[in-house]
Amino acid sequence: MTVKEYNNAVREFGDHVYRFILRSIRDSHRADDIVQDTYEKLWRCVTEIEYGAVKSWLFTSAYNRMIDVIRKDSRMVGVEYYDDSNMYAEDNNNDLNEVLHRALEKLPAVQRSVILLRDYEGYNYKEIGEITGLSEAQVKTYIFRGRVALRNYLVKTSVWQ
Amino acid sequence: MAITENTEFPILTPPEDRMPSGSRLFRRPEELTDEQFDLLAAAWSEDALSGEALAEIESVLSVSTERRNRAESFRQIRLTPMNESWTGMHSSLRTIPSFAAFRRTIIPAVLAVAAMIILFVYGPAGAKLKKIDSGVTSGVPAMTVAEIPASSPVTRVTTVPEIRTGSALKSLPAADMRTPATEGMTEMVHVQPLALDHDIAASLSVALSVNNSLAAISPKTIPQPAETNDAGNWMLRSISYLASAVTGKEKKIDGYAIANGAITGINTILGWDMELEHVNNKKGDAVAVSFSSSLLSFTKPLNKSTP
Repeated sequence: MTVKEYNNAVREFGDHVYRFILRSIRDSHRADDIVQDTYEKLWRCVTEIEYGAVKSWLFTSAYNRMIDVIRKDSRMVGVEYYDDSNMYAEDNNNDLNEVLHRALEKLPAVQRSVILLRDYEGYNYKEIGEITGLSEAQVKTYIFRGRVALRNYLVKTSVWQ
Repeated sequence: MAITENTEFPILTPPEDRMPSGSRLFRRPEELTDEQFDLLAAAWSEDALSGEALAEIESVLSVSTERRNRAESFRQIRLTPMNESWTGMHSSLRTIPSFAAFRRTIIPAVLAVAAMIILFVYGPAGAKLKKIDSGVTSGVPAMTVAEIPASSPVTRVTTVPEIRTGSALKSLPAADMRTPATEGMTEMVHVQPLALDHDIAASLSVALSVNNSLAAISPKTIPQPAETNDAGNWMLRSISYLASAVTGKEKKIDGYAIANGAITGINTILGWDMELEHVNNKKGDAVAVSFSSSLLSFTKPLNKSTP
């Protein structure tokens, strides 16, 4: 990959990677740091990566970096220990997309990430599995369970009757 | 109730306590719980079902409008990106090497050429060119055109370059300046006298040697040419001119400060390591300038007459 292609990767995919990390980690400063680190890592091995594979590489690297940060901060909420006791509060906002994003914040980190990759970037199950290190079956399970949880949020917060 | 397989002491299990078997083990699609149906509907909404699973949910949806609506609602659960943008994008952009090389070499070279052109135009070389150029000068004229009656034969006087050498004037023989073809002309003509600016007596002698009628021209009527500075200060004069043109004020030029600034700039741009220092005597007065670099080092005494 040339320097020009690297700069194109910054311009073309920078926002995509940032919003994926931002929605996953819910901290703009940390998201900014993670994306900066990811591009710094890309720059160090810029000659070894083909431009066609750079988007997937960026998401994989950023996701792994995010997991490291979450583990380091001991703020990772695992699927097994996820507490949904305060998940369903009254939500009077009628904008479905905004409500869905608020509901997304209440999902476990893994479900959140796979749904974001699926809806924001349109990756298929296999690609999501390669980025997150999960099997295709696991990706499907997380996505379907996440959809059910989002629907339940909409119903129980009276957004959907 | 657990089923025991103790063959030594078989225990009869009542029929109502037995595990379902045979046809009773099968479930019909309509018997799916809501939780099971939701997971299946979520997969159906993503077109992730195929084969028997797809046929099963289709059969459920065909018999229950409520469940069809429930399954259709999953298609609306899709997130679309909001207005998040990465503010740190520009800090991650890298400079293309060719552009960096261009910025480090070509731009300073172009600036240097431009500076040389300016210095050439406003320096002594430019002034010399203006003097030599066929009498058409933009500044104060060095030669004057005088109109005289041509009652006597008038000789065409050609321009004699570099006739002035310091304070002495060369006397050219009149015969060398006459052309037979012009003798006997009676109309008014323009005569270009010689460059006469310093020694009036010598100028008159030269003029009379050319033609008597030229004696009518008073040397006082000929404006003095602009005083040219000595060539040693031409660079400082050029820089002074540029400084005054930019700032609109007369600036006293410190040659050492300019040279030191230029060296600092070159060091910054090209990463070189050059130094320019004053050498002072015991009284603390600067007596010389010392230049040092990896390739060249010299010390030059300061000229007190130059700034």
